[in-house]
Amino acid sequence: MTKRAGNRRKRTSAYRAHRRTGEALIPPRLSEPTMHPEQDASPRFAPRVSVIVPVMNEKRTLARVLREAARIHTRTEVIAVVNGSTDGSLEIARRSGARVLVFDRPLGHDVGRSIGAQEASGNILLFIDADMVIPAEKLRSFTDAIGQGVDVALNDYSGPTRRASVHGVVLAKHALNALLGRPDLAGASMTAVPHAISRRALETIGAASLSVPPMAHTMAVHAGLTVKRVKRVNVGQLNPLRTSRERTSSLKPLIVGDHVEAIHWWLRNTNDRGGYEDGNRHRWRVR
Amino acid sequence: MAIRLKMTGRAKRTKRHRSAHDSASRGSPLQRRRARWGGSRGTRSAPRGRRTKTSSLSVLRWRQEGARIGAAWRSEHPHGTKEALRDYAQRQWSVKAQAGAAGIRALDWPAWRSAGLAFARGIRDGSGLAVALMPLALRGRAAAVVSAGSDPDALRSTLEQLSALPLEEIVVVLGEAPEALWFAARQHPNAVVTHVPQTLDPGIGRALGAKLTGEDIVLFADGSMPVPAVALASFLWRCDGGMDAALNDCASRDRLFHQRGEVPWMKEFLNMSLGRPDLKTNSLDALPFALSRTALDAVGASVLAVPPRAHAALLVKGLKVGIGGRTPRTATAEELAAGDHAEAWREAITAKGPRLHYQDKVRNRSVVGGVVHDTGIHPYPVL
Repeated sequence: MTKRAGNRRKRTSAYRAHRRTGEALIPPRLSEPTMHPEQDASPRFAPRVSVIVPVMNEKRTLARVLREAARIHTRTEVIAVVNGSTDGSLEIARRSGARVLVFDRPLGHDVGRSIGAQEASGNILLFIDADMVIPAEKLRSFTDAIGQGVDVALNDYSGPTRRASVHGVVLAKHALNALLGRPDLAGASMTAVPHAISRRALETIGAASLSVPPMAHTMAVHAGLTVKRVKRVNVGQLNPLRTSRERTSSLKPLIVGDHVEAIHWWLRNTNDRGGYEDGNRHRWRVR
Repeated sequence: MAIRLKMTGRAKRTKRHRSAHDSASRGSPLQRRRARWGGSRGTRSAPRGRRTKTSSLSVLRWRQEGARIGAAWRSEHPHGTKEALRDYAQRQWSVKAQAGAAGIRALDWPAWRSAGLAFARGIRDGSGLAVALMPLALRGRAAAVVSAGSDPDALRSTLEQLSALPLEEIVVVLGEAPEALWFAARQHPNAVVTHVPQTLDPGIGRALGAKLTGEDIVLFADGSMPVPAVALASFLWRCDGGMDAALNDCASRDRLFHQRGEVPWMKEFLNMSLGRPDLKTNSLDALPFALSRTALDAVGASVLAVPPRAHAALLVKGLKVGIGGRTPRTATAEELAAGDHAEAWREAITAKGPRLHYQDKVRNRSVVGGVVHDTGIHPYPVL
């Protein structure tokens, strides 16, 4: 990155407070100068696309990920939510020119999406992971779909399903969509990245729900937003190290629990039958 | 037809290989993989592939025994009816089974089945009557509930098969039924017929039938698809042996995951989440299945109206749910499946909590102010 006056880290009092106490640092948007002069909050340069990247320890791929993210659109705001990083990812994020939100300790899975979404100012929000480099052209399919009116643009990749027995998370996603009356979505879900949402979708479901992605997915479907599969990005094959680390299988109980929590929300907001009819059952006959 | 006492040819060749108990290193690739996995709960009850073979000698012995008893009965009752013979033969079988060997229950179902079939054949030979008989030594009393369907011939066939089993009563539930169906049901001597003169949802029919009987084991059969008595006996035997719900194993006939459709996906997810991935896509809606009195009392007969909900109730109450047998099933109407599964989830969540014991200990939810978006309902407590 070129050395510019704006690139140097400003040692504000907020930053010093963060270093002292280890609390979350959320830079106030308007009062503190940001990294790039172009990324002002003035309407002429208001970002159209906000790309949100939760980051823990991804120094191997982060620079490329952030570079691809910035290439999606001329008015793109890249927000890196760095939480609990110990391998230098924070420096990489800062040097890349992205907007960096720093947390001293790990927030847990997907919470970074909520934090980033709260701070995003674009009309289109794209969520990606920091350990997978996806070319901007592919990412653009998602943001373009939102630009054309879709509220939630999902990755068409459901996981490997041409077999007798599938991974529990793949099963959970398929079952949740079936339960919500959207079997056409198969295994596509806001659990997986990349996916994009519109500002309207964000305001409908709330940024907090993004921390439990199946919950956000359920809220979006239940609210009647336009949820579609737009592009297939095979995230299972992009990074062989990811599968060998078996991150997803150790997260399986968490993700299954997330799906149940989403179903619980859905039942509370519909009726005993999820809003479905009872047909001609006449169950009073066996009361 | 001669009964072979000595094994020859292929039987003898395979017997030699079978004596070495090393299934992990030989057999088809699927068998080797299975041997490496070890047994999984529930599926071993109806084993596929290699079966323990009842030796032809004991089969012959049972057949001779049956012939002796049949002949003796015939000489005492020269004009006796088939039903009387059937009852007598079942009682004799029970007595012999209890007296026969101390650990006879330790034998698996195929051994029992072969012995019983041989005995029945002997009864038929000895008495000269072509009586349909499936000898089954149950410790409890059994009844059957039949949803009539619409085909009178199929119903008659089903009732014939059921009459071969030692059932105390058979409840036939008729919905909107043409006269032919009504007569077919009434003809059977052992049947109790319930007639509701409107179209009856099959689940409602089962629940009604279950309420009308009080036996220890209740077998639910489909009147539109006759199943051989020997296959139905497997379900009764499992429940008698301690299982609370003996399901029909349809998962073995499933297609690949992406071809299955939404109903199997929901069923499999329900099973997996409630700690029974071995059940795969099996659920309480595939006839035939059998329930024990414990199960019926625990969940209540009326919950059978919504099969997924009954299935969830059985699992959350910790009842013993397993596979009772494998028979073809009729396709069930699936329009109500999504709503039924919603009820099933409500049942599960009420019993086990909003996340079914799958805790979320990794997320810092306080940073985002708690995660729920319910207008008018307070947010979840921070985890």
